[in-house]
Amino acid sequence: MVVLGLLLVGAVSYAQDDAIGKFFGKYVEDSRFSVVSISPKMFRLLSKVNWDTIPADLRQTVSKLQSLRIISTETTPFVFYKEALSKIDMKEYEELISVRDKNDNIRFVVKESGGIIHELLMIAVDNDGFTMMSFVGDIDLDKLARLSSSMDIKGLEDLKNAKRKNK
Amino acid sequence: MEREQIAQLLEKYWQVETTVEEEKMLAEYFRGPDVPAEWEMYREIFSFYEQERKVKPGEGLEERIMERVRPRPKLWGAWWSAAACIVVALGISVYQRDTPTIKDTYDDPQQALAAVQKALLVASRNMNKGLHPLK
Repeated sequence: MVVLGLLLVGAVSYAQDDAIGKFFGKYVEDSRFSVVSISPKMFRLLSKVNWDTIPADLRQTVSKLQSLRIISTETTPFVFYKEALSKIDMKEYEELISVRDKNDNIRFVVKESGGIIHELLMIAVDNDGFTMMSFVGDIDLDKLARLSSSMDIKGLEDLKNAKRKNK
Repeated sequence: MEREQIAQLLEKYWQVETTVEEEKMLAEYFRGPDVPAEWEMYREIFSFYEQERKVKPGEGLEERIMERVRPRPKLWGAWWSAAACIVVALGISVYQRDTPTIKDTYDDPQQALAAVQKALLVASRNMNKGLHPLK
């Protein structure tokens, strides 16, 4: 009975585990959505590309990624934003950053174990559209934040504080 | 004890008609010193029983026997596990059918890299937006 119970729990959590996958799966064929999917296989092929012009930080970040999925739509963005949020099991994810102002609504949640971030999920919405982005791999948030040109030393400090606050 | 009497008892003994008391008498007699030469071979028989009786069971013999003959609980656990494995396997196969495997968007690694780069920059920019809400 115990074994059965454990196996069932495992099966259930496995299904929940991939709520994002389900969201992607549901809308991948939907013409209202545009989808970008880069598989682990393709990520392995990326090593064959000429990297000379790619900045070191970016190169390191990409080399630790395993997969990328992006789904976005311009149709009823807030409806899909709500649906996406409802599909995320917040027991699995930890809230990292939440932006809410008159223009943007962005959330970053992470899946972490043993101090390593295995998945970074971004859900963003504004009047123009809804985007959900899932990075899977070994994700260094500091490096990622540093990638955009607007990054400065202050931002790095803030990111560290944000991480600590969420612990 | 008379030799005659012993001869009779022996006769009864071989017919398996002796009582416990009579067998004790025989054993006692054959332990004694005056056993005639023709019965010498019987001495061994009775002394053998005598010695065997002195052998004590080894430590924990009863427990060992009971352990051997203990009724085993039926292996319901194994059956449940087997059933559960089938359920899980079915569940996974159904689940995988429900979730179409999402195909790679790009065949060209160069294009894929460009998309990854763009996505990372969008994520990075949004992240910084969260970190600098007043900018």
